[in-house]
Amino acid sequence: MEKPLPQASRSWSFSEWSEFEVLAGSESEPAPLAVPVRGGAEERQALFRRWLQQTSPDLPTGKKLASLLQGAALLLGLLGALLGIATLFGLRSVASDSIHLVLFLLSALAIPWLFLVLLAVGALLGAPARLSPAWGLLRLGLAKGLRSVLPGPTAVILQEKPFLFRLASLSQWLPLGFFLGLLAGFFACLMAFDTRFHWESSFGSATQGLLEATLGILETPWSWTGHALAPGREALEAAQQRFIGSEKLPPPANAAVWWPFLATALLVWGLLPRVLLWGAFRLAEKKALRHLSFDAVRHRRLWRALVGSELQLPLTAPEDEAVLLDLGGSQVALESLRPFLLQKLRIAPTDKLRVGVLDAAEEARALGIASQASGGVVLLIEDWAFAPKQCQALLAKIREKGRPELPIWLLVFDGSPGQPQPPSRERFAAVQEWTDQLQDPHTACIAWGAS
Amino acid sequence: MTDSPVLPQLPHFVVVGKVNMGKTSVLATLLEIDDQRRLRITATPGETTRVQVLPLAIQGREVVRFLDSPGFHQAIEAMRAIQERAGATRVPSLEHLRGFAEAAEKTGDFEDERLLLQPILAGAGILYVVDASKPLRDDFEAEMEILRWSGRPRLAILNEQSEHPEHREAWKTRLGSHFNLVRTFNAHQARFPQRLQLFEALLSIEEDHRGHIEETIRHLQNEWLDRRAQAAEFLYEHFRKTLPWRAEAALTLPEFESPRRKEAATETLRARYHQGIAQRQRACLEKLLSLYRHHLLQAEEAELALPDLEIADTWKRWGLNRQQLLSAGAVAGATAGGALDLAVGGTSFLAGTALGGLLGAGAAWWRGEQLPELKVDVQGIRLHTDRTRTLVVGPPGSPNFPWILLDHLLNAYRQILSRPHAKREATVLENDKAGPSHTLSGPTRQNLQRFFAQALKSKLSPDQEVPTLTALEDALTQVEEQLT
Repeated sequence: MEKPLPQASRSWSFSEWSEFEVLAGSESEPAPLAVPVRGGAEERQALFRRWLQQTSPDLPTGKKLASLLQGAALLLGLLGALLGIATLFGLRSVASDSIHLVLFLLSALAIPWLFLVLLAVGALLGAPARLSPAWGLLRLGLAKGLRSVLPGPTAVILQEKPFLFRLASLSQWLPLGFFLGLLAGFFACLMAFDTRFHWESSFGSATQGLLEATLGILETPWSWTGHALAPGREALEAAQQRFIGSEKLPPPANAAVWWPFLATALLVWGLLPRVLLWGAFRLAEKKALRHLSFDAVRHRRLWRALVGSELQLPLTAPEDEAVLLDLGGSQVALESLRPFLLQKLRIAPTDKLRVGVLDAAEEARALGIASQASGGVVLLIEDWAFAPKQCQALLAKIREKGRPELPIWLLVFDGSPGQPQPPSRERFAAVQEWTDQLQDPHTACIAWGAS
Repeated sequence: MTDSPVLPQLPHFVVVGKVNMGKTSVLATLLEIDDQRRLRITATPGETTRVQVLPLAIQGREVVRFLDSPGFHQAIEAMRAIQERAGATRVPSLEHLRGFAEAAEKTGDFEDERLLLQPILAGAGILYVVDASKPLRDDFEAEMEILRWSGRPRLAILNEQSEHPEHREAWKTRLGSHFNLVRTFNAHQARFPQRLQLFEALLSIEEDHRGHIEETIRHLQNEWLDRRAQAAEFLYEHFRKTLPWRAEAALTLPEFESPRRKEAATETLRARYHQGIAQRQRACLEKLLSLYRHHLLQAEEAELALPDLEIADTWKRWGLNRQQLLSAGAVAGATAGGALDLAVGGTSFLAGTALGGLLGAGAAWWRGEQLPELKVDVQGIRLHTDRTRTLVVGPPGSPNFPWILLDHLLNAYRQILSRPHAKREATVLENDKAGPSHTLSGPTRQNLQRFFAQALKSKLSPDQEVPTLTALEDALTQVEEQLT
């Protein structure tokens, strides 16, 4: 009897989902589960989960994929951190132990934000796959990469939301690492060197005004706390590097003025948005995993195969089918014989084949088919054409191939006008006598039209 | 007695009646069997020579068993023989029927009656089939009496084989006094709802195996819904592969530069494109026919399996009309424009939506009445080192093209649903009148238009799969509802 389905309670994990999708996309035919048929999304989820638990309880592919992505995330984070440290040390002038403020703000905040805005616009346009050939190439690369390390048709998951959100959260590891590296490098510089901050520009006051405005904007997020961290105009003016003759003046020792602001700006404008984005993508992934509809064609096929809801009609043909062997090839049509055979012999003629003809292959084929008939064989004999030895040979061949109890009738008729007519009394008597001599309980002789 | 085809753990229903009343036809339509080798239906009386078991199974487990029987041939004589056994003063009972059957087996008399009584004696419920277009004669009275004496649950089925069932009322009155329930079921017209009703009627006469019958009905309903879902999947897969398809041929540079040879190649490709589309349509139709268990209803030959795309009339009569194309095109365009609005955070004040809608509608208006010109494109020109050019032909530049294909398939779907399985003549799906696409609801058309537009450009978004499947299921449901 039908087994009830488990409750579809908890959400799917990424490993479960990816394992399931890879299994569902494979060509192998799953064995049906004895469960109640047809249900909503919840029932479908519950059934798929049970199938997954039975088919692949250890989730090897899903876990491997999750580990691979986790490894890739760590790698990206590490790469980002190295990039961050390298950027910081690249910005620092070795000669003066000083960091150029404008370049610092550009490299650490403006450029990563520019990337972020461009990607967001691309994503909002809704079709990065179509708009960006780079994404198409990346997907191809991913598909190829996954194929080489994971079994099964992994390409199917590459366009699904949980995977895309996992990929999006993974991509945040690069900027996360970058900002962490930058911050680490920043504090290392402060700790290990007498680091100063300066700026210089050919435009002088214009750049100063721009910097002032930028600092004001950067301070906005924490301005409500009342702790102003942005250095004022004097500090900015003091940090401007000037020339005395052809010599550049070293900037004053101003680390105490600048580092709290710059570190906070890195945290708030650099690290925090990436942490938030990472969290948002993870949440979106979880939401996608919670609301899986499993309604794509491949899911419907799997559901159908598992439920096996089709009503089957294990029908066999009725066991009254008879083959007519037309001795010599009379002109009598099968349909004209049909009512008599149905009502008198209670058999249904299906084929009318010729025997006693020159074509040996045709005769052999006819005898082969006749020997397999479920309801019996009818040997059609025109009364004038009865030849005992020929009939005996034919019967022997049928018996040789067919089952011993296969019923055989010798139907004797006068077929001269094309329509069967009752045979002449004498001729039928001759056939009847011959049949009786055979002493075969499964062979009988009958005259056309006999009541 | 021979081995009984009746098992006590299952509900059994034996279909009985006079010869040529359509007993086998009722079973063929009820169980969707159009295979003449499995279930024979002919005008020859006595076509059913013995009791044929027709089991219904779910996941290999039998749930209900129908039995086709030879018809009554000598009902009056059989009734007299049974009455004789009971004596003049007593009403015959099941035991008298049993005695009659045993005696008939020994003597060889009443072979048909004995065979049809066999499952009844073993406990099967009775489905008595009569043709309401035939007058109620004494031999029918005799049949009803014999069946009543059995005391088994009995359902009478009025199988109206003629357009004018003039004796229907007389039959209903008479059957009402002999049977637990009377139902009308035209085996040559019944569709799924009527089949379901007949199954539900079995619940009223068979109490002992209620669970099995309920389970069967539930499966029957689910299977029907599932078939529709599968049909939608077939259509989705068909359009997903067919709409982006183009006929292509590589031409050498001299061939390409000769206008005459290029035109000849284009003509060949045009013919190949039309043939390819027709073949794909036919393959889809064959899947639908198989899904609905039709073997005698057939799709046209590949060349004819589609309305002729090369005549203007097809483009006017089939698919959507100009207003519908305009409306569907506008919505599809507006959706694309809406994505731009979203990208700029709504600062465009929905200009993208409006512009997209206008462009979509404009394209539909401009091209809606366009005659079926196939698009011809050339690939390979940019690669100057390449010595060949690829000529690419298709699809027609009218937005009505996918709708004509859909219309053709929905028209066939309508015929498939309307065809009862009792019909035994091989028939080709008709292709001479337009389908029901223009009657689909606005939202269904718009969803499908979005899918068609993407598929034609080979830019099908994966997000489109589920909404398209839903829209196609809706379309099939609407076609089915129009039949009722």
